[in-house]
Amino acid sequence: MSLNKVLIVDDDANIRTIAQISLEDSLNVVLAGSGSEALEVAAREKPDFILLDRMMPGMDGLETLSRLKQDDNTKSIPIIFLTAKIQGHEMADYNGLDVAGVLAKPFDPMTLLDDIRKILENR
Amino acid sequence: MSLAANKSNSSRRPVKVVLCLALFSIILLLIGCGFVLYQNQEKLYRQRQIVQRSREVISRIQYILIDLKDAENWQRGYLVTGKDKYLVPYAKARERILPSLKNLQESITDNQTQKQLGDRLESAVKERLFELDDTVAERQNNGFAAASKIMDKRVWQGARDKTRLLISHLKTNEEQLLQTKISKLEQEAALCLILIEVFSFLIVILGLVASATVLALWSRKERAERKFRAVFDQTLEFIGIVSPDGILVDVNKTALNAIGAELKDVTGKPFWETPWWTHSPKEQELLKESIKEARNGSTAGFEASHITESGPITVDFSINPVRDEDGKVILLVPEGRNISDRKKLETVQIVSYKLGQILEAEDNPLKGEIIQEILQLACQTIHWEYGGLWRVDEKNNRLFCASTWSESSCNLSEFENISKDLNLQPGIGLPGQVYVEEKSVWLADVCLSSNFPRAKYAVRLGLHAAVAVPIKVAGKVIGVMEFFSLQIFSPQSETINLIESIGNQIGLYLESKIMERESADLQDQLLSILSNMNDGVFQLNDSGQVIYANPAAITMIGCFSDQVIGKEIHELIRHEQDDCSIQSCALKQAIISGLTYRSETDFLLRMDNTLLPIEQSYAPVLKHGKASGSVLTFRDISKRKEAEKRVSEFYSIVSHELRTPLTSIRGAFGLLEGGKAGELSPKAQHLVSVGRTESERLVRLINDILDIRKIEAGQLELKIREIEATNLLTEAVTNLNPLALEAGVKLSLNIEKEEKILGDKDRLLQVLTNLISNAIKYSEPESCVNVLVRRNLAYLRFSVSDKGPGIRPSDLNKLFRMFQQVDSSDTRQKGGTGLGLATSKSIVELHGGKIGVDTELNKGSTFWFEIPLTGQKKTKEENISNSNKAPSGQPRILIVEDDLATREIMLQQLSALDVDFLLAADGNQALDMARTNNPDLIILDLGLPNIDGFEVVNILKNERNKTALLVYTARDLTNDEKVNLQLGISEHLTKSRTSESEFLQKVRLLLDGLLENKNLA
Repeated sequence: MSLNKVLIVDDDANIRTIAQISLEDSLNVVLAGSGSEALEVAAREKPDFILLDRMMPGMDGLETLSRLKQDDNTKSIPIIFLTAKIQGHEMADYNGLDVAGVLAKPFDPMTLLDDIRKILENR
Repeated sequence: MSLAANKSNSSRRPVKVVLCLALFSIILLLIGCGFVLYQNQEKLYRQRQIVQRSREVISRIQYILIDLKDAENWQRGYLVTGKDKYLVPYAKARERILPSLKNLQESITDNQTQKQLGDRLESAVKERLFELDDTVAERQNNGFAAASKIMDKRVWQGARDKTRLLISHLKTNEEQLLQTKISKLEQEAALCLILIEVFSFLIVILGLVASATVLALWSRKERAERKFRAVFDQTLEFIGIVSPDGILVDVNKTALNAIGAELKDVTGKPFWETPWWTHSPKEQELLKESIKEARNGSTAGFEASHITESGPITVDFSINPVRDEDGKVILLVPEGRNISDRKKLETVQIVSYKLGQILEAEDNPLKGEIIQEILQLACQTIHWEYGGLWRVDEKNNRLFCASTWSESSCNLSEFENISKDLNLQPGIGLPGQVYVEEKSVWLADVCLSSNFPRAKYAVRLGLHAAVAVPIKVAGKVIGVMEFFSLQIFSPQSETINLIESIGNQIGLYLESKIMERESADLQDQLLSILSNMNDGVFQLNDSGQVIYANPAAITMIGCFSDQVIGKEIHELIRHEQDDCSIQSCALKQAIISGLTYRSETDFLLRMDNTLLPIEQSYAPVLKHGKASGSVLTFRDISKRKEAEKRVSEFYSIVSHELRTPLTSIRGAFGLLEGGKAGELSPKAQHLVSVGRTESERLVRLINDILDIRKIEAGQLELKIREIEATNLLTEAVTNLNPLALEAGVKLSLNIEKEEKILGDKDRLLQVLTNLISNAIKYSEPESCVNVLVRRNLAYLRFSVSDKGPGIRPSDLNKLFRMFQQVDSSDTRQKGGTGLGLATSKSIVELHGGKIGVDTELNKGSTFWFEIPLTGQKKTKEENISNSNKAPSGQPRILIVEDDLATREIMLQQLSALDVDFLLAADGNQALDMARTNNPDLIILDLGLPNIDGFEVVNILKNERNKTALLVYTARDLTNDEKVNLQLGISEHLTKSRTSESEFLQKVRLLLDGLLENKNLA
C-alpha cells in the first residue's frame, strides 16, 4: 500500500517532534496533542495510518481508538500504538482491539518508518 | 452321634433276624430228627417185643416139651412102680401142658405156618396126653402088664415121636423166625444209632452256635457298657444313678474325683448322706425334695454348692427321672454342672457394674460416702466383715485412713476408730507395706503378723485374714484398700482378683477424670487461641461443610456463627474466575482428593455481598492416617492488596514518566546520529552515539527493575505455549549477531535435534539473550561463543560457553543475585544493568527449570539452563487415540485413575516430563493397556471400578509383568500391602501427603532408573 499521510497523536510535544522529524522526509505528517484533537484531525485529514500514544491526559489512547473505530469516517484507518506501556500485563490490553500493531517507546527514529511498513504489510 | 447309633442299630437287625432264623431252623431240624428217632425207637421197641415173643414162644415150646417129658417120665415111673406118688407130679405136669399149649397157640397167631403147626401140635399133644392118661388108667385098673402092652404098641411110639417132631418143627421154625426178627431188629438198631449220632451232632453244633452267639452278644454288651462307662466317667459334669427311693447306685469319676472318694464309699447310701451334701443341711433338704419330685416324674433342680478338694464350687444341679416302657420311674439320674467360673464372672460383672454406677454418680470416688459404698460392696461380695481405704499424704509422707465400713452386726466400730486415728509411715502396717511394695498383700491371720500395729485390737475383736490392694493412678500408688475377715483364710486368688479389679477400676476412673480435665484444659487453650487469633478458621467435614468457624471468621463474614455452620464452603469462598466446576476449581479438587490448597487470589463472600480478598490455606486433617474433615484458615489481605495495587500503579506511572523523556532523548540522539539534522563532525558523532547507547541502557535498566519487582511480587506471568527450541535460538542469535560482529566474536550455534518445550517465548528469549550477550561482552575478539541445545532426560538444556576470564569460585554464590556483577565496575564497562542473571534465574525457575554455571578461571564459563520438555500438549491431542502407535522412544506412563478430576491434575503435574501418557479409568482397561502397550511405568490408584488396584497388580504379577509401578492412592498403606503391591521397581505414595514436586520427583526417579537400566542393557 502506498503511505502518504500519517497522523501522530501524543501529548508530549518533544515526542511528536521526534516522530515528525523521523517520518517527514517520506510522509505528509499531521499532529494531534490529545485524543479529542486526534478525532477531529483524523476526520478532517483522513491519514493513511495513525501513530497513537496510549497514556494521555483526558481521553486516553484506548478511548481515542474506540471513538475512531466507531466513526464511519475514520474506522478504516489502521492504527499503530506507539507506547511506553509494553509490560507483560499491559500488552494483554491490546488483545482483541482493532489495532494494526504496537511499537514500543523509546523507538529508534531511524528505523521507525521501516517498522511501521513491516507492521502494515503483515497486517 | 445319633446317626452312628442308628446305623449300628440298622446293621444289627438283619444279624438278629438271620440268627433267629438259624436258631428256628435248627430247632425245627432237631424236632424233625427227634421225631424220626422217636419213631425208630418205637419200631425198635416193637421189634424187640416181637423178638421177645418169639423167644417166649421158643421157651414155651421147650416148656411144653419139658412138661411133656416130665409127664412121660412120671407116667413111666407110675407105670413101672405103680406107686401113686408118681401120679401127683404127673398130674401137675400134665395140667401145665394144656395151658402152655394154649398160650403158645395164642402167641403164634401172627404166623400162619406156626399156627398150623401149633394146631397140629395141639392135637398131637392132646392125643399123646390121652395115651398117657390111658396108660395110667390101664395101670391103675389093669396093672403093669396091660399098661406096658399099650406102650409096646407102635402107636405109642409114633405118637410120642410125632409130638416130638412137631415140637422140634415148631421150635426150629420159631428159631428161624427169631433169627429173622433179630437181624431186622439189628438193622433197625443200626439205623437208630445213625440217627442218634446225627442228632447228637446237630445238638453239638446247635450248642456251639448258641454259645458263640451268646458270647458275641455278651461281649458287645460288655463293650457298650465300657463305652458308656467311659463317657459316664469322663464327662465333666457330675452324673450319677439313684434308685427311686434315693439310694445312690452309681456315680461318675468326675463327681468322685471332686471330693476324692471311692465309688464303694458312696454307693448304697441315701444320696443326701453322701459327702457332696453333708456340709449343708439346707441343701440336703432341697435334695430330698428334688428326689421326691423326680420320683413323681418331673425334673427337679437347684443351684448347689459343693466343697471339693480344690475349694468350694457352685453347681447347677438337676435330677431327672428315667422311665421304663410302661412309663414307670425306674431310676433317677442326678446331674451337676460346675458353673463356678460363670458365677465368678457374674460376680465380677455385677460388682464392676455396681462400681461403675457408684463411680459415675460422683466425680471424686475417694470422697467419704462414695468410697464407703464401694467398701461395702466389696465386703459383701467376698463375704468379709471389714473394709477400709487408706490415702497417701504426700506432703507428710504418711498414710491415713480416709474411710471405713464394717458389718454392723460384728461390732467392729472400735477397729474403725482406731484405724482412723492412725497415721502410718510407708512400709509400716498392712497399708504401708502395700504402698511400698506397690502390690497386693494377703495375711492369713493378722494376729500373727509382726508388722501390724493394730494387732492388739484385731486379737480382741477376732479379726484374722486380711488382704490389701493398691489403687494406682498413672502407675503411682495413691491409696490402699484393706479388708479383714473374722476367719483365717489362706490366700484365695479369686478374692484377690476381685479386690484388685475394684482397685484398678477406681484407679482407671481417676486417671480418666484427670485426662478429661487435662483435655478440657487443652480444649480451652485451643479455643482461646482460636478465639483470639486474627486469622479466620473454618473446620469442615468430609463433604466440605463448615462445622466450626472461629470469631475472626465470623467477624470477617459479618454474621452470627449459626449462619455459617452447615454452609458448603463454596457458598463462602469465591474465586477470581466465576467458573467453579470440579475440573477448574482447585479447592474442590483438594477437598475431593484430600490434597492441600493455598491461594492468595480468592475472596470471602461477606453477608453484605461484598467480596473480601483473602489469603487462604486448606489442608485435610489426618486422624490415624485417614482424612477426617479439613481445616481452612484465611486472612484478610484487603489492605495488602490495596498497598500492592498502589505500588503497582506507582511503578507503572514511574516507568511511564521515565520513559517519556527517554523516548525524546533517545529519539533526538537517534535523529542526530542518523544525520537528520545535517552532517556531524566525527567527534560530535561519537558523543551523540554515547548519548544514544546510554539512554538505551537506561531503558533496559527500567525494564529490568520492573521485571524484578514483578518477579518479587509474584506478578510475572508467563504466556506458556509450545515453542520450538530451534526458533528460539535462531531468533536470539539473529538479534545478537550485530553485537557479536561489533565485538569481533564468533557465534556458533549447535542444535542436536528438534525439541519442543512449553514456555514463554519472549521471556526465554530474554534469558538466552542475556546469557549470550554476557558471553559476547566477556569474550576477547576473535574468540568464539558456543550456544548448544541438548536433551537431558526430561529437560532441554541450553548452554552458552565462552572463553572469557571465568569466575572466581568465591564469586559464584552472588552471581545470580541482584546488582551483583562480579566486578562492580563491570556494570558501566560492559553496559549491563546487574539485574540480568537475577531476572534470568527467576524466569527459568518459573518455568520449572534451573539455571547454573560451570566455570574455570582464565579458561571460560558455560552458563546453562534447563527447561522441562513438553509432554502435556502431545498427550491431550494424541494420547488415547494413538496409544497403539509404534514406540516413539519416549517413556510411556500408564495412568490408572477412575476420578477424572484427579487424572487431570496428575496430567498437569506430569506435563513437565517428556513422556507419552496412556490413560485407564478402571481395572480392566488398565490390564488391557498394560498388556498391549508395554508402558514403562504404571501409576496406579487402588480404588477402581470392576477390578481394584490390588487385583490388577496380582493379575499382572501372575503374568510375570515387571513394569515399574507407582501406587498413588488416597490412603496410607500397611507394610503388608506395600509388599503385595510390587511389580518391577515399585514405589508407594499417599495422595494427601505428597506435594506436587514430590510426586514429580518420584516419577522422574522411577523413569531415570528405567532409562539407566535400558542403557545398561
